[in-house]
Amino acid sequence: MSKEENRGQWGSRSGFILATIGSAIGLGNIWRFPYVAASNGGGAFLIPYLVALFTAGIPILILEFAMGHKIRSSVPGVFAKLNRKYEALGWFQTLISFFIATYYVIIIGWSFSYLFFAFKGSWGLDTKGFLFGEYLQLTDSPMNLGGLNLKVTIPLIIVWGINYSVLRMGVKNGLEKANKIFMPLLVVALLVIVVRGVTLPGAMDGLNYFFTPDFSKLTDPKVWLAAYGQIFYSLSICFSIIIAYASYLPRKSDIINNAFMTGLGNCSFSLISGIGVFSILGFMAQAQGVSVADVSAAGVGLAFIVFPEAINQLPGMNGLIGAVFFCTLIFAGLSSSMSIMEAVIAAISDKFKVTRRQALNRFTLISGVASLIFATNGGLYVLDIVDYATNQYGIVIAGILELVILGWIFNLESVRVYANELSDFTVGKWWVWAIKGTSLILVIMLVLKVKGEILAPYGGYSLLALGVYGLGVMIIMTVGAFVLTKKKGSQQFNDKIYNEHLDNKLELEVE
Amino acid sequence: MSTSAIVVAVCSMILLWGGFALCLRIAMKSDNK
Repeated sequence: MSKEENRGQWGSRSGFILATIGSAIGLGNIWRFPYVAASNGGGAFLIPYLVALFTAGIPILILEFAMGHKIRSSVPGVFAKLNRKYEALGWFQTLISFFIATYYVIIIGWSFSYLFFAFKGSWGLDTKGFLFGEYLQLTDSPMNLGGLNLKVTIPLIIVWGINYSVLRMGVKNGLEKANKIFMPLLVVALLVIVVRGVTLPGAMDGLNYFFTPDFSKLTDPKVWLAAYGQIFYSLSICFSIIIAYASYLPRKSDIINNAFMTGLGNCSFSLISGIGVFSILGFMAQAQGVSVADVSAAGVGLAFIVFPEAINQLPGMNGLIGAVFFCTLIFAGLSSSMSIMEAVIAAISDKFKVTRRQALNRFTLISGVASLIFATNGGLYVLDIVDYATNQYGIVIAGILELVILGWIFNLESVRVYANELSDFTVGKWWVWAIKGTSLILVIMLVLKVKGEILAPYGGYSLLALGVYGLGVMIIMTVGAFVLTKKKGSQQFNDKIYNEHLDNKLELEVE
Repeated sequence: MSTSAIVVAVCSMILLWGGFALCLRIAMKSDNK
């Protein structure tokens, strides 16, 4: 069987949709969206959020679905097919996924630990002290890594084991089946949290804080940028995942409706998780006699400090509700981590003369060893800096380059025609301008970010730490991208990608 | 909950979940299985 035939294919449309929604729904939907929405105008934030979804998120999903589907290759192959000079961008995006995979598994590992802590309430009354002291045994600085923390390393190995086992079974029998199990479980777990949350005293105060619109915020450009940022980071776009997933679609597949379902499904989930999170925060605020804003938090602080505190104060079933909450993080995290890893494995096995399984073994070995740095006592600092560098700079730069190449240089109209011909419904010429416009919004986001960085470096870290971990990762990704581009590919990759020129437009060849 | 919060919550739910359900319905009728 040739490599092309052996690439794998989704077994059903529902399997593909569940996998892409599973990839998009990650930890950020649960711990980032509610906080970003509440602190940027509450209910009024949903207006720029929806505008961003329809003018940036869904258009980019359509673009990436179409490119992956047409070229049937992971992202380095897609860009190399357009022009050999662009292949490095594909590898840059793949390396973003590589680095995100190394630290994403750690957070899922913490969630596994907390799942068991929840039953006994092991975190006690001082949840912050428990996280940073007893559990992570955090050092005083990112330059002091301390030793390997076994309490983190053991769940980390379990998470790697789950991801490896699923990916080893391939696209149809591994990824698709896993998502068909994880996604319904995730929805059920979230609904349990929501039902418990909204029936608690004080829940309405939390929901008021989350939904009450402050329309004056709509004139603030920062709120609009926050909405575009939230959509951009939430949909797995511009860092190799969506293109890899779309490359496994059968020839006769919808593009546009699938993109709408992925975008709408992801944002619908975010909204429900916002209701769950803020109803519980409202309860907690009332129990402590403070305002909801005082207990409102995001990220690691929300999941591993504030929520355990809220669970302590529940009137009953504390252990069970706590366990269900950490299950939502585990299911959301696993469905995303698998997609991130798949993007890297697909890129390696598509270009080089290795089988999918060999690519998986090599990736797991290298990435698994690299992830141990985050399991050290200083690992949380390193995770924070690497996450910031890959997301705030890596993905934004990759997004700008992708949208400039595909939106301004490549014949984007041909992609629209291609997608329209295959899909349940069509998009008009607005789609072309949405892609072009989003590239400009990303440039503004990057410029403001760099400006802010000069005024106040991220997180109060030393320049040395930011240089070593943040800039270091960016340099590795950039140099690595060019090295991997230069490396000789397999004969099949040469024949399929380098020797078959795309002629600057997509042409329809429906069998 | 305030009236404006309820209106926002209901409208956003209808838009997002309703939009998703509509796309799903179209997909189920489609040949692109």
